[in-house]
Amino acid sequence: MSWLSKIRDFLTRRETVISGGGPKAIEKQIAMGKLTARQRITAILDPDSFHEYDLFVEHRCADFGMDKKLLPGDGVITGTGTIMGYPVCIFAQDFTVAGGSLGLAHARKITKIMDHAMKLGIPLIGINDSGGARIQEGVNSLAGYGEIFYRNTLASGVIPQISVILGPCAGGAVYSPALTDFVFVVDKISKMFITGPEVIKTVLGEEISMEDLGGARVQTEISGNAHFYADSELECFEQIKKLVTFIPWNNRKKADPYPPKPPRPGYEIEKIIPPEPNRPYDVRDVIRAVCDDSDFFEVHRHWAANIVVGFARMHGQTVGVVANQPLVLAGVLDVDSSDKAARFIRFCDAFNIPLVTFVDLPGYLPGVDQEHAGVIRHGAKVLYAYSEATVPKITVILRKAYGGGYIAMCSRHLGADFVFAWPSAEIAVMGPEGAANIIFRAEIQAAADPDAMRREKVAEYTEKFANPYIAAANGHIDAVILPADTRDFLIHAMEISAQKIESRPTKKHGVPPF
Amino acid sequence: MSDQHEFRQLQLDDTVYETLFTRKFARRTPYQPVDPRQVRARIPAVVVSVSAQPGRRVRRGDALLVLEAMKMRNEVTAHHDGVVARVLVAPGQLVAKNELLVELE
Repeated sequence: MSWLSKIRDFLTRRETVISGGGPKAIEKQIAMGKLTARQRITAILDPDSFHEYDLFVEHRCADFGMDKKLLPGDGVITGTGTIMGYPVCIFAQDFTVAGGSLGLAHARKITKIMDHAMKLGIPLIGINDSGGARIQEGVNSLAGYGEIFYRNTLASGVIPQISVILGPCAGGAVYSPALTDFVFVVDKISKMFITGPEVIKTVLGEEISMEDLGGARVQTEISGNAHFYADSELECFEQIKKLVTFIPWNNRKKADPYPPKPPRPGYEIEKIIPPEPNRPYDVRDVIRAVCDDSDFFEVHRHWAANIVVGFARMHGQTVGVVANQPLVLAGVLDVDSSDKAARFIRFCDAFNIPLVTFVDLPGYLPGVDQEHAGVIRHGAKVLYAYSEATVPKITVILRKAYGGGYIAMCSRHLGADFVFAWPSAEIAVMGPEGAANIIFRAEIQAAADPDAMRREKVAEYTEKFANPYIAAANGHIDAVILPADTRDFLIHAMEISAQKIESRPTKKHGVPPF
Repeated sequence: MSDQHEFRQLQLDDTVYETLFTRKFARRTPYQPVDPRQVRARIPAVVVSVSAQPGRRVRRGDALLVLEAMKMRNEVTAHHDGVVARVLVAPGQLVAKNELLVELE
């Protein structure tokens, strides 16, 4: 073979694989409203940055006539590239090739790129669009999944792992995304479930659509399995790009700083909190009023909205923000919001991202459903995550900090480095009404006018305890600050904590209340 | 992804807060105490056979009926001694989770 014909032969071979499942399958993919795996990679990565590996990998299955089937790339595309200049490893399942089904060769391409990501210390992005296990390969496809899960677990807390669900992701396949740090879904395209509607119908007699069972909305709002929701694939890719700018390459690094920017004008920080202590407001306005460019990138926005978590920058440095949200369920901690906060705190701690906590909560949500769902062990996750975290921890108490909620929200007692409180803060064992009713029960009952006595005692308690000064007198908070000074205090606290080193007892790992 | 944008009232420790409800919270079902006389399906299933008969005395542990779910047959037994008051299902019937199967007196 001449040199030229070798080149031609290579180009033909490459062309065959690159065309994936062929024009018909691609047409079908597009008809489903989906981009192809290659289009997705191109759209997520910086232009011309994608470098592909393992293009010519083939499966070795000979059963059920598989030996006569050539599956281009074995249904998955793997490689490296950059996003906004940040290096990443990426894989994209190709639904046009045997439904993106996962066989051993397919899995080994994924595990190989995962191993690369770990060795190189760069984030991993996985695009899932697969019908599931390749049944013809039997237990080998299960082996493939297992090898992926194992690596997801080892990589957890070492490199950021991002999963993008752009098609079906069902059965065992869901557990790879579930083990990763951030899951992105797109309306009408993403479908995640352990058992699909058909199985549920045959086995259990319950009828439900794929969308209602495990569509994008369900996964972002009800189950919390997904962190980011988008209306379109392109919107989803923009979200991924934005996320990447906030997080470091790996756990040995810090997130890259950006040029500092002041908050945008228009957020009047003094006017955000209503004067009545039981009135709601949007705590995200407080976050936007203090962070760079008022740019708050919310994680898990639609799930457990009674707590807000996400990334922002203070004077150019990434921070992880956790804030009770009085707008929703009065900002209480409950099963879901505890889960949400704890997971986020652990991500930030693992990746050297300082934590800023804004506190305004009346406590834990009462209810039989909450108690039976294990609000005790879920609530404990928040305590665990904050206590365990060694990144700089800065807390700002905006208004209510009552009882167990006060302790849980990164109090001094859980190792906060700095605790600030606004003059509107109420740091107390419980709200004035509840406290007065207990402490002064006898006086209220004995009074000629119990209601008048109750009001008097509530006022007395409010006057004495519904403020930050008793906590300040005990040194539980470091400073009472004006709302307008919050940004300055936060930036200063972060700057002087930049070299913070806090050690923990030697252990293999803790046993958090999962 | 709209939450209900209507403020509701949530009472905690004698204080009433104005706030939005999540859809999940608004849809929660109130707790119903367990009635030991009611035998309910623990899992959605198909009724394979029914041995309980109204008026018949049963002892704790006696089989009342057999349910099939997830390719397994499960005997449903009486939680305590009593008399079968009502049998609400028949063989071949598909029952939902928590559906009432048999009532004891």
